[in-house]
Amino acid sequence: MPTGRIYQAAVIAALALFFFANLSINTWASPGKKGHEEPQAKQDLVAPPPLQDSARETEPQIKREYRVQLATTPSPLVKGKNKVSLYISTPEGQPVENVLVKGVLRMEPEMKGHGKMPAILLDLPFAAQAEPGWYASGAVLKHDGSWSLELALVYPDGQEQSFASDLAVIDEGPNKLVLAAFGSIIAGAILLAQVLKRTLKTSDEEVPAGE
Amino acid sequence: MSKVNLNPNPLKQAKTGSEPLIKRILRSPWYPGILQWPTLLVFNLVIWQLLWGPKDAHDNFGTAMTWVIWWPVIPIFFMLLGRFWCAVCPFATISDLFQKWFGTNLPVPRWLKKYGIWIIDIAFIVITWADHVYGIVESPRGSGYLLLIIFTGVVVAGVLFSRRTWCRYLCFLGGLSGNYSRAAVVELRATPEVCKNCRDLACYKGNEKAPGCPMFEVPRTMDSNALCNFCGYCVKSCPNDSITIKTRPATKELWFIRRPKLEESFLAVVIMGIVFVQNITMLDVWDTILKTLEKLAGTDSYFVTFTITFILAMSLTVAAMWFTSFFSARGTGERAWSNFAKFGYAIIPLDLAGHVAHNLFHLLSEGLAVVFTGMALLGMEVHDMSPAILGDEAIQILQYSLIVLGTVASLYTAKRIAVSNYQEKAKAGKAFLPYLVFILLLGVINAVLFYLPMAHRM
Repeated sequence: MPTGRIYQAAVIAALALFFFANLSINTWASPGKKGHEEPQAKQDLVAPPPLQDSARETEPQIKREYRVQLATTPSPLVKGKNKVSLYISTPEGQPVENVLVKGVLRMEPEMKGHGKMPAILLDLPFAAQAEPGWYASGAVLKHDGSWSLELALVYPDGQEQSFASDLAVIDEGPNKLVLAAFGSIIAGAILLAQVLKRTLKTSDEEVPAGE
Repeated sequence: MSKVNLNPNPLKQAKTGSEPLIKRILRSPWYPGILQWPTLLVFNLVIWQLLWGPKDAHDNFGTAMTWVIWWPVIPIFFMLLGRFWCAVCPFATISDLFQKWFGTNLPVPRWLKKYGIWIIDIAFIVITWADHVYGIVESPRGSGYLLLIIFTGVVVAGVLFSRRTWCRYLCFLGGLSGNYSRAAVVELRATPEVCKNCRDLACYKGNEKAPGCPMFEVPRTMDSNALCNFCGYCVKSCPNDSITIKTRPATKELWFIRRPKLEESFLAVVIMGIVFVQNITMLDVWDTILKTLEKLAGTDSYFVTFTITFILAMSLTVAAMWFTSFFSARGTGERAWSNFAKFGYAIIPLDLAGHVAHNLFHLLSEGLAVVFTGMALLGMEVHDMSPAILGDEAIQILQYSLIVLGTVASLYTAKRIAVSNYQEKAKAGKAFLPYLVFILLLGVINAVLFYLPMAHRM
């Protein structure tokens, strides 16, 4: 096999591998589908950060102290699709069902003096999951940086609580669609060149005018 | 003039031990490959870091390599060695490789030959604008995307068209490097007496020793550095050993441009506008300017306010140059655009000085960021250490010195252009006088801008 062919095959294989690997490794899917780990049990939670119970000081009349644990998939959150889950339990560790959960993710963009932008707000439509005590919502984040999660909970006994927690959102890497677009253009040009090579006789040895 | 003909009698001295070092290097089969491959390796690391490394520019090795080292150093390279960088540029290597494996070698389309330099001019302006609006330099991902766009363009041009079509007709840096390298202190030229009877044209067509000129140049008619990248192929392939490398006074080529081109002069003037924009947006006073513009434009959109600033800076500089050319042309009885094309080259030394002076700040006050981010790649974190190589005051002295040098070089170049174009002293004086005022004004504006405090990149 000629060396040129080996090079060609190697480059095509490397390019294909590069793009498919990137697409598959970083592909996100909707919660529960391939690419995301479903937080099924408490041990699956990755170090749930302690939530600041702002209601504790302002509403001393609360009798029961419910425990709320936060889990995100992936952890930490990334720019793109994510899943935010809550596990709500009684002080005795029993899961609490029928909790009304309202959540908002908020970001105050910093523009370094390059103009002003209003705060970005993202509603989180939490829904009860099959496992008792679990509530989850998808979150498509278009910006990386520091976000704050604000939660308002209404328990079955009518008690209300609110929480706030800072969450860091990271940018994992380049946009996969952009990479795929560049890859496609390159692959298209290579294919076109191969077609033209077989159909046209080309030579660039024409000496410039004036010689 | 320190003219050193490195091969005064090529037919007799060819390939002897007395050959100067620089020519021996260019003739070596190891050159330019020995520099191309390490550069390509570093480029891969840079791309990887920009796209998948830390998102914060401050921690990204790719950002440090690209914008703190490469971009500030590249004009110095052009000044000293012409377009030598283009010979080892990773994109050129990528183009060559893809062409070798998949290339169809179509001839370059005529429209590209005709309008290529305008495409380069526009691309350069658009990229500079996009950098400010989308924060390309400040964002490793943005820089990565820019390199990916170039990579894609290079590969497409490489596999479809012959030689280095991208480098000659499309590379946005090509216009800049072409202009700057005209001021370089070295030149590669053929020896006319030796080439007179040559029918082989191996320098253009290539032979078993080396490929033809990748930049589509025929050395025996080449009178400019603008399109020579010192790849050394013609040195290797020439059967008559006609190629010489000479040193020359800096900017000399600009004094005798035989066929001045408006697009090249236009780029030289536009670059001055870009240097102004680059400086202004990094000054503390920029916020005040922005607020004023926001009031005037009735919007706080940065996209709008910066675009206004950008267009103003470009068009005011071009308009000022046109008016200067208009007054100069009145004294000589020519058209303003004709004088614009002729004298636009005189701005190149000041462009070069402004570009180097601006980037000297980043190079010398943030240069160690390359070491720190490089160490971080190896798992060694450096905290609370200044990335500065020199103090701000020392940098400012260097910046002023460069601006003064650039202004003097531009003035001298304008004078030489006037003298070489007009036989009569009086006419040459009338042609030169408006440019004297214009160049001095540009020098003063640059000096004022460098006096004000500037922001960092990393």
